[in-house]
Amino acid sequence: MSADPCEAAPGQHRLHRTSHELKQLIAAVLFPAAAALEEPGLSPAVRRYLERIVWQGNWMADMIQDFLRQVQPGGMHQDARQSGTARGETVHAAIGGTDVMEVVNEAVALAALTWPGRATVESPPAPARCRLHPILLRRVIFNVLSNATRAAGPSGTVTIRIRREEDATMVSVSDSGPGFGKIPTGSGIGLAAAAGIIARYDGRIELGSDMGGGACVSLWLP
Amino acid sequence: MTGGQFGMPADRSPDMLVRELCHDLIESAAAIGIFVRLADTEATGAGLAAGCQLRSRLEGIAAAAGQIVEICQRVLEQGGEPR
Repeated sequence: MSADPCEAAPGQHRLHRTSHELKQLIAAVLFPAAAALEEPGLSPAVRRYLERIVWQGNWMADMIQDFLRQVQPGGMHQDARQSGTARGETVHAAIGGTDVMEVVNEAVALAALTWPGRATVESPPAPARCRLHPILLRRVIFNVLSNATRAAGPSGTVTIRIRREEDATMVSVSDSGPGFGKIPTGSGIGLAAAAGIIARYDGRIELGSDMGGGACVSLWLP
Repeated sequence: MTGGQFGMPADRSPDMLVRELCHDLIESAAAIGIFVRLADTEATGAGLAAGCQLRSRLEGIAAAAGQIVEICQRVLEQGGEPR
């Protein structure tokens, strides 16, 4: 954030204007999707796709609200648990945190829409939870998984391992790509955003190599 | 980048937040486009779309999702102004 409030204002204005424009378009997704769900005679498959559209639309609206909160006076996620009121997720902290496995499965399902490779998830039998708000955990996992599938390529593999450590849930995402620094990098925005989110919760991200030489990103989620 | 701990990004300016937002929205918007195509294919196969408003609603959803993708791409490519 700029030290000079006068310099910060145009950026805030841009964020608000872009957010407003995007929210209107999201409404243009949600309203017809909700109306379509009321139509008689829908097959279960069509209904399921429409429900996924509504889910994605709500998730995008929640995400925009979350970003707008970050530039409000008082700033950066004083308490990220206040996010996500659209789906009543404020209760997540009270029920023991966010279900990491659920978010990982959502991310894998979304990736499978556009990525033909193979994703494997290894998880403990007991639920693994963390303090990150669902909106923020989704952003972290989706970004890390997106990087991994891009690195692995269409015929590659991605392995996600979840395990409980003493005071955190550890998620490692490894891919069969050539490893860090061996392929043209993306914008770097996704990984930086993930690191920023996790740091706010006193967690950490470590970058390393898989035994097969691919990249491995490890997330410690308190 | 070869390994090690990845720290908190220094730039938390509103402009960076706009870019982060667009970066994170773009895949969801693209996914909506895919779900629309899948729903349309399914409905056409089942003979549902002919006599109801489903198709025009799906077209509207696809158009809105496409505009979200366009805005986000523009922000990411130009590093700022969406229009």
